[in-house]
Amino acid sequence: MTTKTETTTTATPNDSMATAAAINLAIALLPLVNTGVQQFIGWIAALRSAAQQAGEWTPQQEDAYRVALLSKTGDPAYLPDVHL
Amino acid sequence: MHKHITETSETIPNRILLGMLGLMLLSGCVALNPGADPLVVRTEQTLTSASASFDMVLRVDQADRGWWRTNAPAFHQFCEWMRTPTLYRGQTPVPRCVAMQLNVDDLKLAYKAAKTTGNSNALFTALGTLNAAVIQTTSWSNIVTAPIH
Repeated sequence: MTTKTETTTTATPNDSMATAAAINLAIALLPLVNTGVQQFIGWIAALRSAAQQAGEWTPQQEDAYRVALLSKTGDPAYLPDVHL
Repeated sequence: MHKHITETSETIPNRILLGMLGLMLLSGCVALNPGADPLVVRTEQTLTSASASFDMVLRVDQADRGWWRTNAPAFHQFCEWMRTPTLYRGQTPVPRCVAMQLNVDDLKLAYKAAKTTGNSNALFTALGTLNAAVIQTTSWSNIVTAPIH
């Protein structure tokens, strides 16, 4: 006397909503991940460049540094929320 | 047992990645050129890493400010603190993180022009403050880029 039990997997509305929410979250995070990876690589490259520095900056390097720094004042990433 | 296998397969790529990053950083360390002032070079190294670190977190926050404001308010608040307009030389408003770097660079130039005890002390103090901001920034970058499991 054996009995067979069949189990069927059906997606409940809650599962579908959870999946949809996960997909939406992943889509929302994609630009952040993309930006983060690029910035992370740039950061590592800058740290490496700093570690390799053996002498003082030349006047040209000093000027380039200050120009690059001052140019950031108009960069949207450096503006506070109230100025956007 | 299964858990052990899973953990191993997850940690090996992480270890390889950390090893590669370590090699990239450590293999680049070089000795100072003769005549180079260690305080000046250390200051310039800190300025380079500060610029890159501030840039990284501010651009990550900039990618979706609303998302960070809602989901990581302390991080966004820290970014806003770094963006706060601050007067440079008492007249030009610049973001606080830019002002910190400009002030340290000014002190470095003053020290190079006249290597007095007062100038070296002022530079060393400002460098410590900038270094603290860099450490805090790096901590935030570690927190916000940590994988969520």
